[in-house]
Amino acid sequence: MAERDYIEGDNFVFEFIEGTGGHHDFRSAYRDLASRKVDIFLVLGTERALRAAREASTTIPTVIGAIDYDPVTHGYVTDLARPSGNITGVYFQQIELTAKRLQIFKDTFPKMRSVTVFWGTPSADQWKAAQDAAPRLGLELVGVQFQSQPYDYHRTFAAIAPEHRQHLLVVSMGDFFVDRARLAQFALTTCTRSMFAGREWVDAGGLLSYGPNLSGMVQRLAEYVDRIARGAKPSELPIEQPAAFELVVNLRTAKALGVALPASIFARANEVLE
Amino acid sequence: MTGATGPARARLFRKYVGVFSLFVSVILIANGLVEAVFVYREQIVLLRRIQVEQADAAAAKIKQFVADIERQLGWTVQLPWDAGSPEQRRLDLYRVMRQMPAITQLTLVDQDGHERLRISNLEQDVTDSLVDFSRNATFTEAVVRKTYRGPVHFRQESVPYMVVARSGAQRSSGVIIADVNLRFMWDVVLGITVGETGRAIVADEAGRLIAAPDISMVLRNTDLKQLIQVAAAKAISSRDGAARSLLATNVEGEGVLSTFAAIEPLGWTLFVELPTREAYAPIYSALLRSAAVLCIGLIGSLLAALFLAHRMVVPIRALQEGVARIGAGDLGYKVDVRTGDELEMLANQFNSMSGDLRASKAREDRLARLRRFLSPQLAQVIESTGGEKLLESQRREISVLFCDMRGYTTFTEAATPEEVMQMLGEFHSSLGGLIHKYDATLERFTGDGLMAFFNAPLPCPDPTDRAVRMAVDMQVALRQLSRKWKDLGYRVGFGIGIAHGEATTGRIGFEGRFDYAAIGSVVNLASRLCNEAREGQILIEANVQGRVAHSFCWESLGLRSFKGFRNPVAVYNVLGFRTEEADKPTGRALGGT
Repeated sequence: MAERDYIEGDNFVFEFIEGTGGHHDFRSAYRDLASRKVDIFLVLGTERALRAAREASTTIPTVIGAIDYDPVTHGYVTDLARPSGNITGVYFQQIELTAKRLQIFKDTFPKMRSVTVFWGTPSADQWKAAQDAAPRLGLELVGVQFQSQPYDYHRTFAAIAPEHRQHLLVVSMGDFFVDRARLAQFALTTCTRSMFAGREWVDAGGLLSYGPNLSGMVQRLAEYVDRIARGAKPSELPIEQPAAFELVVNLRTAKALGVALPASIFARANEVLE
Repeated sequence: MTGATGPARARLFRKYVGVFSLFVSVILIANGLVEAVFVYREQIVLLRRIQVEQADAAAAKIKQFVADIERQLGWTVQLPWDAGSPEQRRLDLYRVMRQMPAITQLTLVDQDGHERLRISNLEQDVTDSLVDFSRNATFTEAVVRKTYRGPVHFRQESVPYMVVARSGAQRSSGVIIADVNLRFMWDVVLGITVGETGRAIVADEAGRLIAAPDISMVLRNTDLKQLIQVAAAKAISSRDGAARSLLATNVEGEGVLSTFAAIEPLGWTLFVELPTREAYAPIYSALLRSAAVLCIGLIGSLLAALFLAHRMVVPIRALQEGVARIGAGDLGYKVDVRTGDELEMLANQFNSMSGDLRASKAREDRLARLRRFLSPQLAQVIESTGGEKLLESQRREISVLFCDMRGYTTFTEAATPEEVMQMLGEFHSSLGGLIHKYDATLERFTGDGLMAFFNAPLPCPDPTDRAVRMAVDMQVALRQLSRKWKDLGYRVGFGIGIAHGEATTGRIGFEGRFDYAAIGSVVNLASRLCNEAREGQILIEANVQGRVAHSFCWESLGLRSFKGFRNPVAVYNVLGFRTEEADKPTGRALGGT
């Protein structure tokens, strides 16, 4: 936001709320914000947050960063080109990407038969998409649903049968983003081959990631906020979807795990960390 | 006087200010307009040329964007189908997709039109689905023409896509079909700068917006068909450089200078748009500049007019003042103007004129003074010979004549004042003519008499003779008057006394009232003789008698004593002219008295 001549506390106040607790936390927080007559809701992440924001106010322009839900299929907007309902923003397509991640994971490790999937309540759609895609790829999935922070990855993982522990898919979720260093370290220490939603996890030590450039998308969100602040209506601003996805490979992690990666991965990888 | 200069000054001022301002304004406005017109023309010509170049360059970039994709596709189908392994082909397609992020999906179709491999950045990759493309236009066109470029379509009514297909060098190489996300042209149009606020946009064959710096416009699936520049682009050939640039309205309703360039062979059109606000900024600033110069010029001309009016009016006022003062009689007044120009010359001429007037006036005054006791001719002579010196006092021999009325006192008592004045008027006028005739110097008129003398201030050869002659003429003239008054019942007569001798003559009196006077015993003697004379008598003393004895008839009256004279004086009475000299008819007339 600073790049767009907004100065925190001067012409712009950022009220940050974090959904650590349940749905009621969001509701009361958004009601609080609505009662303080904020200009714009920036709802980044879960559908729960958007739902809470909608319950608090439908008149406040809302910019969404829809990570783990599809705003069209869930009925928040009817049209990407001219979104209705005072909502606009970016849809990250994480649900479709989940299946693609599984495919790339499978392409990388053709002998892979089973994948453990870490997911949470906000990312249930991704888990569902993964389950839909698994049979076509000949994969057996073991889902691990995390519900309350702090997530104890080691203990949860230990409960899983050893034959399922070799490959790990971590779906896109805010909590997992916060925990990316822990998750990467966890995968490394448990000698698990990991597939993540974005390069941030691979930068932290994850093996593979496939997804949109998150920081680029967040910059787009800043533009939405900016244009609405300058008087644009949400319906004039089409909902954007990421146009490009990047495959990032961490070769150091591969070496640490002692795995060889096929040529096809290097052919399509946008970045290889060495 | 101030009442006269006020309006005059105001008129002059208005005239100066008006003429100057008009002159300067006309020149500056004309200059400003000419400049604006030229700036406008040059600016438009320049802008159009720049825009045509920009549009061509931008169109080339867009063309390059598609050409790059086509080239990348080209080498995936270079080799015959059986030349490489399926795995190798897959790697090729991965590389192309990585190189060209705009390609979201690649489909490889074999020569029979069966889909063999499909990879996508979002969808699941599919191998050997054998979906039949043999009747699909994409496949057939690509086979026939090497390259197929599909129409632009909007996915989810938002994101523009197009299909590009390439067939290999050999028929057996198959066909590669790419789904291209045209959103990626965003980066291309973002990189095209058009002035400060201009932009480049791209419309597809159907007139829909497919690339713009504001990606929202594209994703809204904006229709540009109704814009005149889009219609013009369809109608006008791309070769016609000048016609490709026109004033139009963009999709937001803002006035723009819009220039288009066709993007062949895609059928798309690139538009370079510069808001007229910016395009005309140099024209506006030229106008603003002209206006500023105009203002400065007007203020300058006002100041110049003020200054000049001041320079003009002050000397003119001084001249006016001078005229008024001189009119009022102050001939000594000098006009002080030092402007170093014609006005100063005029003032100098004015001053010399007033000097001349002053000299002339002084001369007039002198002449008037002289006329009081000299005949006009004499006065003129004295004046013209410049001889005020003549009036200075001197001692010389003069002949003095006194004339006096007898019975005047009884007459004034008996007669009415009107009759007295009338009689005196006639008396003076008949004597005055004789005084002029004989060039006598009239010292004074008294109520009933006069005193005149000869040989001063101008010398004359025969003063005594003249004096006596004049006396005789006077007696003749006065006798006629006496007769007339006698008829009215009044008895008046005249006595005359003449003496000759030395006297002091000169100017006496004070500034403004000078008289020419003679002082000496001869004057007293003449006066006594006049008093002594009876009616009609002309009494002379020996000095006179000795000088005129041969030209006049006279009689001796013996010695008489006069008051103030120690010795008795020999007194004679002139009877008239001698007969041999009696060319004048009055000759013997006195004898009868």
